[in-house]
Amino acid sequence: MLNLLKSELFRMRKRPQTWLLLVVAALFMALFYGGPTVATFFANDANAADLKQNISLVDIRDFGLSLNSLFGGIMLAIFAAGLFGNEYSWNTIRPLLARARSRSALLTAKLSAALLYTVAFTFALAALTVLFSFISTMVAGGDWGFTGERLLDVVWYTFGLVAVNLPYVALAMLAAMWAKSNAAGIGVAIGLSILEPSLFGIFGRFSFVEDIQKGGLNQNTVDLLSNGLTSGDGWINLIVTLIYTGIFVALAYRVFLRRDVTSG
Amino acid sequence: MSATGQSQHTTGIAPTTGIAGVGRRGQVLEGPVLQAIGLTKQFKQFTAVDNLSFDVHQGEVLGFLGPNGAGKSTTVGMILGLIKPTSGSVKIAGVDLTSDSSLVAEHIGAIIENPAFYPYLSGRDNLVAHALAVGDVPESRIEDLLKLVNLTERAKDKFKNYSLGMKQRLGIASTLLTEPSLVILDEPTNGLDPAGQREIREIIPRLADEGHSVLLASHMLHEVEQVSDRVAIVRRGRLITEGSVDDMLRRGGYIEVLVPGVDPEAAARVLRRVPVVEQVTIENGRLLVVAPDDAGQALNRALFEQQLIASSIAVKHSTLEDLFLELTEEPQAGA
Repeated sequence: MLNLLKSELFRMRKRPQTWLLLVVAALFMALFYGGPTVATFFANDANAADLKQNISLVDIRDFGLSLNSLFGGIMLAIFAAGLFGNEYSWNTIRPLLARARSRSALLTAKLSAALLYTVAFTFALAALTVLFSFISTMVAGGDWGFTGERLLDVVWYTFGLVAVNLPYVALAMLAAMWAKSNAAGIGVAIGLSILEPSLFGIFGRFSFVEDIQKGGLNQNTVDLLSNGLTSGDGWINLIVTLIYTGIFVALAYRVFLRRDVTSG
Repeated sequence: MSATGQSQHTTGIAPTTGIAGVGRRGQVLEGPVLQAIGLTKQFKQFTAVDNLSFDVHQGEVLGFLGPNGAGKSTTVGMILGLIKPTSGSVKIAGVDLTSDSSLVAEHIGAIIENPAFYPYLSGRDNLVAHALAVGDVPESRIEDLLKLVNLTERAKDKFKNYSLGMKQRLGIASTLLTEPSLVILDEPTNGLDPAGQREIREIIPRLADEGHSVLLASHMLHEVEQVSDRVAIVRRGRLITEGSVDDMLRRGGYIEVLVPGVDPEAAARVLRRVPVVEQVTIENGRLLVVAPDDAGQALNRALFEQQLIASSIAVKHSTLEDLFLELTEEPQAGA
């Protein structure tokens, strides 16, 4: 499995998409911070003060890192779907399988690569967010609001972001493998993240639906980020999120180990 | 080529690099490298492969022939562990594939249909990626293989910019990374220009010379005839015939006898009395005699004794194409 993981990481490193996704997410982040920073020069005092607080480290969870959650999630779904979808579209899955000591070893290597990328991507984007916050505050002339405690909070929050992204990453991989298509993986993962809260929003007036919603993936990811990993409820949300991840991973093993690979 | 199925290839090409060893890491194997035993694959109601058995021996090239949809790719898929057989088994170096799935990675190098690589990587990086996946492949081997397939100068170019011929050559280099016992080539000259086809045709016997067994699935009958020691012909998932190329070609051969100025029927009557003759037919005044290749002298003597003079006695072998078409042609409707 380690050999296959090395091969995955080698290809990840050499693939432009790996870096492009981070660059695109960083550009969005730069715009997200750049806009309010410029606006502080034209806004009245009260509004400028609000904007300066937004771009400082004080509001980073609700401001910059919320974007990390949104765009980061989309970028990671694109990446994860490509791990299998592209193998099928490039017809490289069969040669790769013929090189693997076993199918489970190949799937484990791909899941490990996805996990490593998710952690690295989320933390890199969080670090860039902190950097943009710092630069914006310097330009706008406010107080950055830096304390060690706040930085630690960012680190914990970023761990939460990783956990929130994991089930969607696993789902994107599962769907891309199942359908042998990149688009299917991206569509299902992003679709679920949009559809689930929308459906619960529509049917949430019924009490039994409210109970179901509490066990839903979206509700638990939202609660995990708001409760944080420093509270007991946050850990329950984390466990539920990881259970969903586990279900998607188990399904991926079931599909991949049983399937005849006749194309790709 | 010999009747034992062992290769006696001579290509006249000096090896550009040492693909040292016999089998993986120079391992000498006893018995067949590959045994397909009663392989059957059923896709719902459709039987793609039906009780198919054949062996590939060390250092031989087995041509695996069959029309489209005959089950060649499904068979290759089962050998590579990509498709699970409904029944039957595959043994690699004597070990059942189901008991050890790592056998494929260790013993087999394969190009499945078209050579497929990562388009964003260079030729060299694609080989590195494959080498990392199997592990234990020295860096020098990658350079040796690039040299073998004449890609050293273009090794840094992206795979997506390669011509089809270069892709095929990179595919062959990739199959040899682990010094496999068995190399599976599925239509390796598909889409290549004549020069590219010739290059591949020259590489295949060299692989066998250096101890690798080759399973060559191809529609290019001329190519199979040139490079194979034995052929196995399949139709509708079943093995129709298997044997050495020489035997196959002899099977459809005959001796053509021309006796000008004489009633062909009279000459045929004379030839039918020769003990080694199995059959004589007349076609456009020519006598087509089914007899051993060395029967020419006996035929000539028999005619001469009856004061009949043959102007020509020539051994005619059929081609693999003739045999293939004869064996795989579907019967006409209503026939």
